[in-house]
Formats: sequence, structure tokens, C-alpha cells
Amino acid sequence: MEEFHFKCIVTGPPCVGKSSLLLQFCEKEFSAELDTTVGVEFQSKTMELDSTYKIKLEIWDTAGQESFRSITNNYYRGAHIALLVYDITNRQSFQYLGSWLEEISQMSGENIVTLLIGNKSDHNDRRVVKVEEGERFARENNILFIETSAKDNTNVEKAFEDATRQVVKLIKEGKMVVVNKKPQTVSLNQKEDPKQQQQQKKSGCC
Amino acid sequence: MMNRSISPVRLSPSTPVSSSPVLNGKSNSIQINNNNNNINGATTTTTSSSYKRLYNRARQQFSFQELAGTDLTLLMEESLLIRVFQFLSYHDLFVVKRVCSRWRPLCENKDCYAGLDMQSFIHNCRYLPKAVLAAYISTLDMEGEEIDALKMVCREIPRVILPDDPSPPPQLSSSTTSTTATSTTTTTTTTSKSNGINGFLQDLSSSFNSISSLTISGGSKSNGHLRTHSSNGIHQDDTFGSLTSSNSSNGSLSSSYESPSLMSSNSSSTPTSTRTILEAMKILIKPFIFILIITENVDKETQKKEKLRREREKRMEEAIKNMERRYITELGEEEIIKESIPSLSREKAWPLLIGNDLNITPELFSIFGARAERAKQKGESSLGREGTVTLIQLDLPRTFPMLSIFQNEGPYHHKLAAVLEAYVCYRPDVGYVQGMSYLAAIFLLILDEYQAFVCLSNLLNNPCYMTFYTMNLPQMEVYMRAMDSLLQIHIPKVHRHLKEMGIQPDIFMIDWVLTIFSKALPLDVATHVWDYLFLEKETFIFQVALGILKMYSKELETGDFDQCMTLLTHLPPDIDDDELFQHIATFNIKPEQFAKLLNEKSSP
Repeated sequence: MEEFHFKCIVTGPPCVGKSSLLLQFCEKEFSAELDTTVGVEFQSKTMELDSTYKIKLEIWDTAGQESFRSITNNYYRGAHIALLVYDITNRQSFQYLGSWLEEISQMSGENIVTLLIGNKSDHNDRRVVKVEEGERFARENNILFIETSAKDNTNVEKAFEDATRQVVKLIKEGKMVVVNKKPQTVSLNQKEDPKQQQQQKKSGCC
Repeated sequence: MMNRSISPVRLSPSTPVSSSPVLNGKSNSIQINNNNNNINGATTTTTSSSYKRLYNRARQQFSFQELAGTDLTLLMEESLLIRVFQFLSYHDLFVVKRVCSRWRPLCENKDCYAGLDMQSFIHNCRYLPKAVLAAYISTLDMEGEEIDALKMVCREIPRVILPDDPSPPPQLSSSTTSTTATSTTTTTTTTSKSNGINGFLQDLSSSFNSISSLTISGGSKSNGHLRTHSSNGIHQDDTFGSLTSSNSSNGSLSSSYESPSLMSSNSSSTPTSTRTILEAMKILIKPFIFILIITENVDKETQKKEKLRREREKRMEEAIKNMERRYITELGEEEIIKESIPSLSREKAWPLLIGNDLNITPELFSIFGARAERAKQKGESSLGREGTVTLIQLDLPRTFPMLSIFQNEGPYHHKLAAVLEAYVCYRPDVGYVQGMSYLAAIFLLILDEYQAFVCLSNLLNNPCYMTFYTMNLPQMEVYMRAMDSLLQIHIPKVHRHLKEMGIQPDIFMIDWVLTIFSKALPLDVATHVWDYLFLEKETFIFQVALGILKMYSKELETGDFDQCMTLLTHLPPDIDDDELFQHIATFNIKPEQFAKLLNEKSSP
């Protein structure tokens, strides 16, 4: 079984359920009482994809508040996957996704696979952001889209599978290189071209 | 996860466990005196209706400040607490365990896990203490392959000592013995441990008093066999009453003193009748005294600790009476490094230690409170970062969620909002930054709103916290470099290993500094850190950080990237206060040294 090691960063406005998604994905659990994420938190999980690939995901969960973006931006480096999460019951969380997206592509390589996630789909009665709106935004920006519910465990695994499948596809097509080395965290004030970080290292890629 | 037959009693303000009248030190009518000699606790008029009234009043008056420290549980015997904990689901036990160091061993007591079966084992294995896991696995009589299969289900298993391991299995909770809590013998033995034989009868009488006052909930629930019918779901308000009556009637002595105790609980009891009961109990208990002799030695240690704690409380009280900051500082220096400020004294000690250099007045607090109201209406168009006021509401329920008091309907929800909103308007240049709610929450657990605001404002008015809360990257980088070189000097092996993997201090330090460890460490350990922090200023944060890294140096020297990162961003919930402070004490970083280091690091 071919093995890959991907770095995945979870980002988006505050209180949209980033940590809950992770908890559901990594521990198969839901808790309405999660602590606020301050700075960054780390999780790792190994998953199987289509029973042909074994994928180790290194997941970085970031704080959602605007103030932290200057810090969390540094953690994008070397990431293969960015999960951009918003809350379907909160219009505000959907409104400024453009700027988030800009930052993702600015701070990481161009080839980063971005998946837009509309979370809290279990609250369909309180929905204010239509599925079509999410789909349209994703299409316009050429990123993947899915709606999930961390509470009901709807589509949570599928979200991660979709994203990793896309990365594997890009690697197979030679459009992405995979760094099997542990991604470096960087000093806060350092401004370097993120593309430089994409050094290649032997792995199952071409 | 409610897969136990007993309906779980959540640690939430609306449930009787946390708001029972007995726990309320401030309610005169149902006051239980902590003094063991006092037997007036039973002078409660106990008709059902008057109980309801008292109970409701007590619920309103109940001070959560006491919940914050260990004071609440000091009123209860350990065995009684274990009984309370037995009603919790395994997941709740896991949560409750984090509340304080006294509760932790109790929550890990094997009696809390008596009903463990395969199904609940699989569902809850993450939450079970390692000792319980080991004990349970050893009862399974499993082969290697089966255990391998079990490992797939339960990630914790590889970390516990398996039965075929040559080394002995870990002891269950040390403080509360291995006797079963379902017999009154335990109640007596554990009671005796704190005070020796002489204190035993007094202890018993006091615990008996608490029991009889606890059972005032009326005659309808006179029978203690809660376990048998609780699966039908007991009305929450009744749970505590039933629970405690089970405590008084379940034991081996139950047949003998069940009726008097119920008598005292159903009809209005007088001190005289209580005394009669005590006389009766003395006779009944004699055969058990020999057990006490055996167990007495074991807990001289605990006894000593308790005595020391009382003494410290007294000295601190005297220092506070003198109301001199300098005096406390002198007293504190030597004492706090080893022992924390007694939780009852913090209310007075903290504001003194922090001081009020900003000269904040109650008027100022109310002015900014009013301004916050306006800022909320204006929303994003307000001055500076005042708009962040809207973010506070999102974070309130996510601040110490396990305490359940900052939740939307929680009793401290508005207080926390008020303090934070006032601060945002007071310092619109800083605004609300995630992490701040933890600081305000800790202050609110100890102080009132105004004092909490004074302390929060004065504490944050410090170059280190300001740097982090304003996200001043160049200056933060200086602190990170300072931390990095401290790590290199003091724990070089860990430094090298982390550096090799590219893990830099900002990964863990941002959380630790912003919340001053209140999120990363258990509450009691965190407040202990805070005690000392107010004396040593921010240098101590870096010292504590070194202490934590030293404590886990083994893991951090050998672990791979994932293990180290996971450990550093999710510290284990069962960090031991004494152990951590031993490690912290191995570093002695003077504020001047640290200032020099910062100076060096700021010039490239």
C-alpha cells in the first residue's frame, strides 16, 4: 500500500466548528462544550483511501479570530490541504471567505488543495447560507466544496477523503510534489517565499 | 455518554450536586460548619416545604467561588464524594477529574468503576484511568491476539501495564484505600484517616450531621436503594436527596442506624436527638475501631498536610489583615513556591498582589460597562477594536466548558461578559482577543466583577501580555527567541530534538502565555501558578514553561513529530501539582536576568 504524509490546515472564522470537525474525524466524538482554540492545536490521524493508499494526516487546527491570522499564517507553509470552514447558520462567517482564500493561496504554494466546508448542516432549520451559494463560491474560485455536520458525523470523513483524493490525484499527475519531511514551523516574523519550502523529497510521488 | 444504568449527575449549576444547601457555606439556615466538633448542623427544620424554600434560597446564594477552589469538597468526606462520583457517567468522571487535585484520585477510585462491563469499556476506554483499564483487562482472561484486537478499539491499552507484564499493576487511587465504599466501614476508616482515632468519633458525628442534613429532602425517598430504581430516571432535583440517603442506609450498619437517621431527616431533629444517635453509634462502631488502628499510620501524611494547610490559611489571613502588599510578598516568597495560597485567602490576596496601579475605580468600571452596551449596538462601526465586543458572546460558552457556569444560561455568563466588555471599551486599542476570556474567568472564580476587572486590567497592563495580546509580531519573536535560548541552556536535549523536528516555541507558548496556563493546566495547578506569577511577574511564565517541558523531557527527547506536537498542544489532563512545581523549582531565573536576555534578543 502506497503511503503518503500530508499536512492539512483547518481554518476559517471563529466558532464555525473547526475543532469539532477535527474531534469528530479523529476521535469519532462530538461535544458541544469545546474550549476556544488559542493559537494552534495539533492532531494526527492515519486513514485509508480507496484501500490503495495509506495516508497520514497531520492536522493543524487554528484559532479563528482575526488577530491570530498574522500568527496562523505561518503555519500554512508546506501544507497540502487547507480546509476552509464556515457556518451555514451564520451569514457573517460566509461573507469574508474571499479574504481567507486569498491568504491561503498567498501563504502556501499555489497547488494547495482547498476544500470549502459548510459546517453545522444538522441545523437545516436555521440555515442562512444556501447550498447553492457555497457551491457557486467554490466553483468561482475553483476549489472543492462539501457540507458537513460535525454533530451528526455527516460527510466529515468524506470531506477529508475528498481533499486527500484530490492531493493524490495531483501528485499522480505530477502537478504537486509531496514533502515527506516533517513540515517546518517557522519563526513568526520571517517572510519568505513559501514556494521555496516545497522542496522535494523521496516519497511515492513522481 | 450515558451508558451507565444510573442517570448521570452533571456538574452543572442546575443540578443539586453542585448547588446543594450543604455545600453552601454562606447560607445561615443550613450551614454545616467545617469544624468537626460542631453538631449544630442538624438543627434544621425539615418539613418538606420549608426544605424546598431553604433549598431554593441556598441554590440562589450558592457561591461558585467556592466551587472554584477545593473548598466545596472540603466540606465532604472523601468516601461521601466517591459515592457522589459513582453516579457520574465515565465521561463525566473524566471531566470532573480535572477540577482539582483532591477530586482526581477520588474519580479514579475503583469503586467508581464497579459496574464496568465490556460494552461500556469499549465505549469509554478513553476516559478510564489507566489503573482501571489494567485491572479490567486482567479480569478478562485474554490471549495475546485478543488483546491485540482490543488494542485496535482502545488506544490507551498499549500504555497501560497489561496483566502478563512482569511488573506489578499500578495501585488504584492511593488516598482512599481499596475497601469497598458500599460498606460503612469504609466511611469510618476513611474518615478516621484525616484525624486519627481520637478525632474519629467527632469526624463521624460531623459527617453524620452532613448526612442528616443532606437527607432533609423528605420521607418519600426514605429508602436508599437508588441504584435499583435509578435506571427509570429520577427527577434531577431529587437525586441528591436520594443519593445521600443511600449513603446513610446502604452500609453494613444500615439496619441499625437507618431508622434513627431517617427519623432525624424526616422529622425535625434537635441536637439532643442527634446526640442520642451518636451515643448509639459509638456502641455500634466499637468493633470497627481495630480496623482504624491498622489504617491510621497510612495517613499521617495526609493529616500533616491538612494541618499545614490550616496553618498557612491562618498566616495568610493575618498577613491580609495587615493589608500590606509588602508583607504578603515577603510571606509569599517562601511559602508559595511550595504551597499555593489557600483558596479562601485568594479573594483577598490576589488584588493585593496585583495592585491597582491604573487606579481603576468602581465608577470607571460602570462607565465602561455602559459604553460597552453602546458599542454592541454600533457593531463594527465603533472605535478601534471596540467592534470585537461582539465576539465575546461566541467565546463565553467555550470558556472552561467543563465548569458549565459560563454557558448561556450559566450563573457567571453575564459577569464574564460584563468584565470582558468593559475591558474592551477601556482598551479599544487591544480589544477582545481570544484567550482573554480565560483570564477573566479565573479572576471571576475568585473575585467579584469589579475586582476581576481591576485585576484583569492591571495584569494585562504589562509589556509581556501586551505584546501577545496586541499580536506585536516583532516583539513576540523576541520573547520566543528568549524562550528558545532558555530551553537551549536549561534542557539542551529537548531543545535539540525539538529543533531537529522544526518545532519552535511559538507552537505552545502562544496558548500558554495568552491564557497564562489556565487552559493547558488543570484548574488547581493553574491557580497555583498564578499565585506565584503575581510575585515574580512574567519571568515566571517562562519558568513554568520550562518546568512543563522538563517534566515531559523524556517524551520530548524521544517522541516523533506527531507525539511531541500532540503533547505540547494537548497537555495531559492529570498533571500533578507537586511534581510540576518540583520541576519548576529546578530553574531559577531572575527577572533581571530575563530582562537582559530579552535585551540581547531584541538586537539582531
